[in-house]
Formats: sequence, C-alpha cells, structure tokens
Amino acid sequence: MIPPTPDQSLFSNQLSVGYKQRGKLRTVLKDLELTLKPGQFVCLLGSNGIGKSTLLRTLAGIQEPISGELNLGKSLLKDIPPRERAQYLSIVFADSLPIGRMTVQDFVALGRHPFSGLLGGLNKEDTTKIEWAIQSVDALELTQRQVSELSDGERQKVTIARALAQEAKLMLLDEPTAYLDLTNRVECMQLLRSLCRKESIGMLLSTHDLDLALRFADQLWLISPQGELVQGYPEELAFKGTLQDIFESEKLDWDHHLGTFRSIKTTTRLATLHGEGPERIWTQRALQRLGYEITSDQRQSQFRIEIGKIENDSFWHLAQGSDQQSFKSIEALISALEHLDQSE
Amino acid sequence: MYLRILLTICLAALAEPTTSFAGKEWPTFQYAKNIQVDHFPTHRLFSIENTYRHSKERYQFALIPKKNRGTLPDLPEGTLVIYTPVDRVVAMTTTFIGFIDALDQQHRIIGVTEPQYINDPKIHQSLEAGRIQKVQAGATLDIERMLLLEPDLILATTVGAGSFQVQPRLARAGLPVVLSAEYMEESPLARAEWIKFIAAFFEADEKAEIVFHQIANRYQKLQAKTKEIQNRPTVFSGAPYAGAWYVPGGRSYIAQFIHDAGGDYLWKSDHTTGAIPLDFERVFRKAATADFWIDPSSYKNQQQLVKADQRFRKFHAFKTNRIFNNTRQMHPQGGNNIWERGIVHPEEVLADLMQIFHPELIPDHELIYYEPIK
Amino acid sequence: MLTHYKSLGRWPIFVILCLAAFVIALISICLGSEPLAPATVFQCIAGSDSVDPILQQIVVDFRLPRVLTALIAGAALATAGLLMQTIFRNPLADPFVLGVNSGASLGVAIALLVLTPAGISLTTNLNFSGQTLIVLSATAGAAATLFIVLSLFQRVDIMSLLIIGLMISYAVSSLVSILIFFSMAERLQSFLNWSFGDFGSVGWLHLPVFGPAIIIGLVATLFLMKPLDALLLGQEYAESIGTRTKPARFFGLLAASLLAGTVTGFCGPIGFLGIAAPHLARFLFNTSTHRILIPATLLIGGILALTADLFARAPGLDFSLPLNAITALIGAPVIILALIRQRSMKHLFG
Repeated sequence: MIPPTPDQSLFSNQLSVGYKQRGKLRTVLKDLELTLKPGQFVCLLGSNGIGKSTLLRTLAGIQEPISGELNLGKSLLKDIPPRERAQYLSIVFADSLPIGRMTVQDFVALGRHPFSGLLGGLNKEDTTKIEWAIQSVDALELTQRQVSELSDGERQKVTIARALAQEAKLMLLDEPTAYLDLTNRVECMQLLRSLCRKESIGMLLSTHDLDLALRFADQLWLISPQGELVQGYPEELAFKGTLQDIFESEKLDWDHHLGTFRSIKTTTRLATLHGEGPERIWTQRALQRLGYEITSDQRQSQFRIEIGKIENDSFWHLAQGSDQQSFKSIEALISALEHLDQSE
Repeated sequence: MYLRILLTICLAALAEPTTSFAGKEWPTFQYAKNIQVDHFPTHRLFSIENTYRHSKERYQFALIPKKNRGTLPDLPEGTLVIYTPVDRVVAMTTTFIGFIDALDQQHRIIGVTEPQYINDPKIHQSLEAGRIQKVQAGATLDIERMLLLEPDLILATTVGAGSFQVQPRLARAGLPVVLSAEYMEESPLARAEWIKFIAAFFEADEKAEIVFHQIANRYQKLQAKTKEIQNRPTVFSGAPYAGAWYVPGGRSYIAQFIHDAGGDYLWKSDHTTGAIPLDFERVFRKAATADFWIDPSSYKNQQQLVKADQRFRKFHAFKTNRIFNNTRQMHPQGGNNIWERGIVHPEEVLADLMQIFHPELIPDHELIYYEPIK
Repeated sequence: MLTHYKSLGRWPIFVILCLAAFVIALISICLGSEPLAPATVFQCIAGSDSVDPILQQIVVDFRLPRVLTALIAGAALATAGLLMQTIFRNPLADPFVLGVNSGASLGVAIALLVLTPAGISLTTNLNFSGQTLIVLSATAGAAATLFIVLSLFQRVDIMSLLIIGLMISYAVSSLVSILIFFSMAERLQSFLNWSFGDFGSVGWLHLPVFGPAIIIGLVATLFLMKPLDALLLGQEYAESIGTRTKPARFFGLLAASLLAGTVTGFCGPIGFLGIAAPHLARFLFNTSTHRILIPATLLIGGILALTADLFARAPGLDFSLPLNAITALIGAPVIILALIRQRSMKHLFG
C-alpha cells in the first residue's frame, strides 16, 4: 500500500498546460520544467487569469497536460490509479466543501478514503490519523461542529486537515488564503509552513499575496504577464528585480525599502514629514495612499507635517504656506488631507 | 294494449289526416324520468334534464314536421328546432346506433365516432365503403368537418367521447346537436324507452311504440317470475384495475338488472347511481363468499384471471365456476353489442341474467350476451 | 474514540424509527375494510384455525403483501432519491430526474391507449393479464428511457446529464399527452388509475420478482456508500481522494433507476417520497454521511409509504383515495415544517 518509490517528488518534462475551448486547444504555459519535492514550500504567483489554476489542476491530475510529461516518482502521473495517487498527492482547492450536513470529523475522515476498504469502514489507525490531522491544524474543538457552520478561517483549517489525513507527501493548494482576513492569512501560512517542515510535505500553493509569499516560501514560481514561468528563491528574485519586472505596472510601484508594492496615484505630489516612531510610519502610509511622495526638499513640497508629542499624546501639525492647523489624532489629519484633496 | 295503439293510430289519422301532426299523442313516457314531452298542433317539444350527474340544466328541442316548416310556432327561449323526419344523422356514441338499428333507420347514419367501439358489422361495412364518415369527438372535435357533413341531427351525450364540451361547441357553431340523458336513467326499461325519443326525429313513432311495447311486456313478464323468489343468490360485479375496483352503485343500471333477475346485489343498499371506487380488500371482504361474479372487466377465462391476480382464486364464485362475463358478442376490436342492442333490448339482458341466477325459471333460454368464464 | 461517541447518539433515533415502522405496519394490517385486533392479526398470520377463513385471507393475501410492498417500495424510492440527490448534488433531484417515470408512463400509455384500442386484445392475443401487462410495459418504457440517457453518460458532464434527463422527461411526457388527447374516457380512466399509484396490486405472485429486484438495488447502493460520500465534495475532490467518479456515478444512476423503475412498474409513478425521505433523514440525523443516511432514508421512506397508504385507504370510510395525492399531501407539510425549523436549505443541503 505504501508507495514503493523512494523518490516521491512531482516533476515535469517539457510540460505544456492549457485547456480546450470550443474544441480548440489553448496553451497557457509552455515547456515547463518543474519539480516539487517533499518538504518544500513553493508559492505560485501571477496575476488573475494567467494560468495558475490551470497549472495546479494539471499537476493534480485533474486536467490532462497538452503535451510533455508529468511524473510522480517513477511513474507517469496519469498511469497511477486514483486510489494510489491519492496516497501521494492531496489537494486543497476552492469550493471544496461538502454539500449537506457533515461534521468536521466526518469531513476529515474523507481523507482516509485512499486507505479504507470497500465500504469505507475506519480502523483504529484511521481514527488516530483523523484525530492527528485535526490536531495538526489546531481545530480539535471544532471536531463535532458542522462544516457548513464554520467561519472562513476555520473552514480553511479543516480543509487542510482533510488533505493532511490523506498522508500524502505532496499537497497542492489553490489560493488557500484568498478569502481570509489578514490575521487568518498569516496564521494559515504559518500553519502550512510548519506542517511542511514537520511532516516533510511538499506544498505548492498559489496566492496573490506577494508579501506573505516572500516571507514564507522556499521557492517562488512566478508567471509573467507574457506567460513565462520563472523559478527562484524569493530573495534572489526580489534582488535581481525580476519581481519588479513581472509585477510592476502602471498602477503598482515596487518599493525597494519596504519590499512591497504600493499603489501609485497618477499625479505625483510632494510633502515633507517630520517625526518619529509608529506615528511616522502610519502617517507616511496615509500620505502615500493619498498620493503624496515624501520628500526632504521643502521647496517642492505642497505642505509640511510635523509630528510632536505633549506628554503621552501625539499631535500633528500641518503647514501649507501660511495656513497652519493642528490635529490631535491621525484620523483628524487624514480627513483634513482628504478635504484638501477634494478642494484642489 | 296492442289494440289501443292501433286504435290511436287510426284515430289520429282520422282526426287530422293531412295537415296536422300524425302521431300527436306519441310518445308518452312511462319509465323514463329524464325526459318530458309537450304536444302542440304544430310541433312537439321535448325537455331533457339530468344530462349528467347533478346537472341543473334543461335542454329543449322542438320537433317540427318538415311540411310545417313555414309556420314557426312560439317556442321557449333556447329551444333548438329540428325539422322531421331527419335524413342525415351523426351518432356520437354507440348506444344511439342500437336505437337507430332497432328503428330500421340505419341508412340515415352519416357519421360515427370511435368505430373501434362499434359492434354492428353493417356500420363497419358502411365505414369501409365510405358511406359513413368517422368524425372526431372529445378534445379533437373538428367543427369544420362537422359543418361540411351538413347533418340534420347530431345525437350526443356528456359521457365518453361525447364529453362535456361537445354539445356547447357544436351548438355554438349552429349545428343541430341534441343531448340525450338516457344513460342517466336508473332502470333498464327507462333507458330502453328512449327509443321513442330517437324515433320522433325519424317520425318512426309507430315503430318505436310497437318495439318498446313488446320489450316492456317481455321484461315485465320475466321480472314477475322473480318477484316472489326467496333464494336470491348473492352477486357482485366488475374487476379491479390498477388498484381501483369500480363497483356499480346500488342505484345503478346493473344493480337494477341483478335485482330484476332475482339476484341479491351485494351493494344494493348503496345510494349511488354511478360506480364507487373501492380497493380490492374491501370488495373481497364483502364478496368472498358471494355466489356469482358478473362482468369481470375484459377477462376471458380463469387462467387470465389468475395470472392477473392470484387472489381472484379465493373467491367462492371462482371456486364454484360461477363467473359470467358479458363478452359473448364482443367485436374483435372491442365493440360490445350489449351496449348497442342490449340497451334497446334490456329484456334480453335480463333473460341472460335470470338464466345465470335461476336457470330453472327459463329453461329454454340460450345466453345472448353473457358467457361463463372457465 | 471520536467515532464511537458520535454513533452512539444516533442509535436511539434508529430504534425509534424501527419501532415506528413496525407500529405503523401493524396498524396498517389491523385497519381496512374491517378493523381487526392485533391478536387476531397474529392468529391469522400464524394460521390459527379459530379465525374466520375470510379474515385470514384478507390478512395474509391482502394486507400483508400490501404492507410489505409499501415498505419495500418506500425504501426503494427514498434510496433512489438519495442516490440522485448526491450524484447530481442537487436538493431537488428525485428518483425520476432521468425520466424513468415518464418512460414508464409512455409504456403504459402505449399499452392502454394505443394497442388496446387498435384492436390488439392484449389479454387474448398476447396472453398477458392486465396487471402483468402494465408491469411489463412500464418496465420496458423505463428501461428504454434509461438506456437513452445512460448511453449519453460518457459524452457529457453530470449537470448536462441532469438537463438531458429533464428534457427527455418533458419530451416523453408530451408523447403521453398526445396519446391522452386522442384517447377516449374509458381508456383514460385505466391510465389515470395507474398514474395514481397503488401498493395493493402487488400480491404474493409479484413479490418474488419485485422484492429481489429492489434488494439488488439496495445492496448496490450500500456498496456505493463510500464513493457517494466522496461525491458530496464534487467531482474533482472526489477524484483527489481516490474515487473513480465515472463508474461510481454510472452504477449509482443504474441502481437508482433500477429501484425507481421497478417500483414504478409494479406500483405506478409514486411521487414525492423519493425527494422527501432523504431530506427528512438529513434533518433527523443531521448528517449527509451515507453510512448513516442510507439506512435512515430507507427506513423513513418505508414509514412514509406505509403512512401514505394507510391514509389513502381511508379506514373507516367507504372508499379509497389515490395514493399519489396522499404522499404529497402528508409529505409536503412535513418538509415545509422541517425547512421552517431549519430556516434555510443551506443547513440541510448545499
């Protein structure tokens, strides 16, 4: 039952992926040479509609490749019977929830299908694995809850637990963090990352979240707008400017200092900012969001903001020519700036 | 009786030999309840009621001899005028064919519906020769074709192919459609008496009087034999079909027949004139020990019965071979003469049933419509 | 450990359902043309000499097969409904979505409305009795429709198959309408009677055919339990956990159609049970897991069928009512009530 191959990685050879549309083949990505090894944490990045899902679906064996080979261990992926393939490879895709009433435990138990008998009866090992999987995603308290009643973050956790129960050494995840809020997103990535290490599972996950990908991934697979796939270490790709080349657009601007993109407003206006601490960082963010570049050259700037402190209370001083105003909160400052914006 | 009729004919002929209506005292209805006739010097006015269950409507038909055509009398509103004798007749149900046959007026039929349910071989011949047209009825009623046929008279009912919409639709098109209520009569003689109504259209009243007089006479004579009878065998009727056993009600035509033939109908205390849907078990509970079983649907022999449902075997009537069906004169296509001639001649049906229940009462009779199921 | 805790909670409901089935079956045997005491019923079944032989026949030859048929047919329709709802992942799916019942209707309509009036006297020429003829024509019609739909199985996806089934249903029903349009009242009555549905026409003679056909369907369903669970996740997921979805769906459809087709053949097109029973089972057991849902649906289907039959026979009254009217009449309020209590379908399904 346990896969006999020593090498459990997924690798491709001259792989082209795409789909059939009205009888015509549409190739999305060509000549891919990819490898996903157990224990590796790979993030797949690219803009919407570029082919991330098509690639994942092909790698998962749901979709036929257009050409080239896709191997799992020593065999071609398509030659491996579904039951065995399920023991090597698990997936966490969007819309993966069951219809109807199902407890978390029953849902996760579905992950034992590749191991259970004809009628799906579970033995002791199965139940242990189910419990382990639920515990691994820190969801023991959800065990008897209905899947349909969980929050988005909880649902994502148990979906991962279901894939874990499959005990596969490779896991493909299609935008697992897409519908989560920031806290849950970070938590989810951390969870995946630690599972990847602890259980030595090879994970490939597609995401839009460059920030998180840069922080967590062992490797990045980037799909350029031209449909080329670039592989590399995150730091290397960032440093060489590949990230910038691929993702920079008229609307996004790569910030070397922060290692993130920020949005650009079409007209560039300048402002000077004096101050320190978190107040400065957040004031700067607000200014950038509103379309101001921070400059030290006072002559070019439209106004000047000084952050000061009286005892423990911060205040903001806004000077525009002879106009001067003071604010006791960042909220008041921002609304004043917005007002300024509109009056222009 | 016979003399009186002859006398009436003579008197009528003497009184108004040419201009006026020959048989103005005819017809009178003794048994039929759903029909009434008023005699006028120029015409006869027939009123028909109860054309279907709980019907409140009253249909009136004025039969005016063709020779009086010019002088249209004062008629109640809604009265349909038919000039007699009629020449071209469409019969919308098979029972009319029985009446028309008995009056020797078959040559006047120009249209029929559903030939497969007609038993009369002469009608089938005429249909093949094209002398009679097949007309559509029910939902597919073709008014235009009906108009092209130019009938003098369309005889219809509200049952079967006739259905409820036939009469109003034809009437709206100005076609001379007459609605009959004979099938709503409870007694066989009342039903047979409607021959007088049909005859009026052909001015064959004399013939109708003679025929019906004989029929009624014979029927009453037979009935008299069973009046005082003590040992009435128990009888039930019909067969279940797809779960429902439509048992004739206690006031139905067949219930009356069974009683008149000296049988004890198991549902005689029921008050329905139509049929009541029962499940098999209910019928079995009541009829398991009954002496006779008549009219078991279209089953021809015991083998078929058992094949359909083994439980039939458990009836006492089955075990004692006392099942009779009215299928002796069934046309291979399905038309049964009991619904044609049998309607006109209830005395023959009665004789059959008497022969079945009490063979000793009419030893010479040979079954006409019924046959034993073996 | 987790599994045991959960299953224990469900045993009481199963026991109650089994008891309910038994009690309703017993009431059903006791009531009818003549009410009998349970003791008399047992005497009749045991073949005691002290009871009226006619009562004994009524119990043994009428009520017993009727109750058995209702139980079996109800279980079969409910299971077929469950299969269809899971396979199509659609709460509105019923045993007849592939047109099995319209096919059967067409078969019966042809037999009753075309062949008979055309002069082919079926009882004499073909030597079939009425009931056998109806069973055969219904089964043939259902099988023909099923063959057409399933032959397209390989070519289209499952949603398209659902729509194809619906389209074929409509088309076939139209043919039936045309036949009805051209038929006369007497024949129509027979056809109508068949379409009302009835559990009483299956006697001991038919049970040896009817029973095993249903049992085959039910056993096949049990073996599909695991892939059916997987199918709740949708095709791709089911495949990712090792399910061969094509064969699972094919055999599921086949089993459902065998169940629905057999019941329709013997008892007429009985609506509603098939769609209602699985929902009630989900509601009562709060799960979509087929390990629980199959036995639950089966039991609830049998109970619903028995209850509907009991009402349709209107004990105490002098007539019986059409079964099909009763199934929906007593079933619909139950479903509506369940939905109101659950507030949304999403909790039960989807």
